[in-house]
Amino acid sequence: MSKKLQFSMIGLALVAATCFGVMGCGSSNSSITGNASAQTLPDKPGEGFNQDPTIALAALQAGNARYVAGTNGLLNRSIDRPLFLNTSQAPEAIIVSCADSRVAPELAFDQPWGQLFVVRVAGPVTQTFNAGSIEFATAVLGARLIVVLGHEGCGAVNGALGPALPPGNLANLVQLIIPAAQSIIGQPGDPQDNAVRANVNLQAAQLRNISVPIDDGVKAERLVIKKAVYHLASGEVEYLP
Amino acid sequence: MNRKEFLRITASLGLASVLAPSALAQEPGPTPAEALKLLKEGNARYVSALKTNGTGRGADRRAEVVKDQRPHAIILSCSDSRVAPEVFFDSGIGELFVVRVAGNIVSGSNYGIIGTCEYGAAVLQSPLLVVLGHENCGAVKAAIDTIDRKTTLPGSIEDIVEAIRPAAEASKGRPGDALHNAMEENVRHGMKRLPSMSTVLDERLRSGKLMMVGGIYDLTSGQVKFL
Repeated sequence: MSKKLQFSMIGLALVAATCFGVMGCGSSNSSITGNASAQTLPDKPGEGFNQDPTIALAALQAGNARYVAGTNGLLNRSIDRPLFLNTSQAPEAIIVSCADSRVAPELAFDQPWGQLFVVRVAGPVTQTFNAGSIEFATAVLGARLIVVLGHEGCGAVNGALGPALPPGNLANLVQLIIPAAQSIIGQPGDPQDNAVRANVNLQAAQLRNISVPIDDGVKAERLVIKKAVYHLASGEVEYLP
Repeated sequence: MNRKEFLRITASLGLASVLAPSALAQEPGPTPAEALKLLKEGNARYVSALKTNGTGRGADRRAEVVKDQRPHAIILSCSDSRVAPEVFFDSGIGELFVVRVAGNIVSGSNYGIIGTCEYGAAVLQSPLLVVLGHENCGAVKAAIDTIDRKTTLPGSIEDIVEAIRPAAEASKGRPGDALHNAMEENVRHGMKRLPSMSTVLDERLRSGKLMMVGGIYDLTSGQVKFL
């Protein structure tokens, strides 16, 4: 990262922190600490935090590899909560994923407490609540990596493939996925799998469409959006192109 | 033969797609009171050990729930990186259906949040819905500050602040800590809004199939206080 970009990031975070009056601004301390190896096994909260998107992504991939191999356990470690409170949160990544009980990002990425800012909703469909949550996490907390994570066997996506809409607010939610379901008609392969992938692409694109701060951040290469699919049996997180 | 073995055998016979989901779905689930007890026990384990057990988080458990899920609770909580329900309820894979958004807001325009709760309650038959706030919530703090300064915020964050604003205004001037009061009021507002904005949830609450409780997570002690 160039010095200039670093300063502009800190500046943005300071402006945001002043604007919100929220405690803690992660980017000023975290941008100078940590490296990839320290990232994987921090001994204390706040140690090894790094919000550089490349390093954060490597940490997520290493954590997911531990989860797949059955050597996960960072989340189980005891932590010094008061110390962590004093350092406030400086999450390395924002995970936008499904509410599905089998897709818990803290488990799948085997990251210690405090590393992941997590937005969860069926789909995960994009609306202003998750765009706003992401804007908060990037501007105030300094996170720069956003992972939009769909998953195999997603009930909401299957709902969009079905013949009829469910009742209630759920119908409106499913409507947000229908363009993805329609886009895969006639494609070879498994329709459910194709729709899950098309939906991740759609919802990630929608984040930029409805949020100027997120779109500007990606254009300026301050923010990185990665798209991924979680596999229920293996536990693997597969990143999409 | 336990259920896991049964599922493995049916899978080997190529019957999994027919039998496995129904086998799981036909199991009687916990009552609302039993589900709440499970959460309280999990939180007590977490508070006493200051760490999670880490059980039910491996390949065996993934295989058990690969065809279907049967979460015993829906948790609507904050996106804050320090507020992961699986950690402080000491839960494994497939136990909690988790909706997370900054400030654990409930708003009509963001029907994705309400619709997700409906999915957990109606489709997955979860018996318990917890609206969970937490101390030192940055989103609630932002709402208080914008009211005090009579300002608005740029972008979509304003939508989140707008959803919290009635709770922040209602709790203003109450004795005690302003941030705590607004956060607790925000939980109560969420609990009022969910049934008023969702016929699906309202009907399940009235019939007793679903119970809704409010909770507050304390970052320092790790304790969840149920309202």
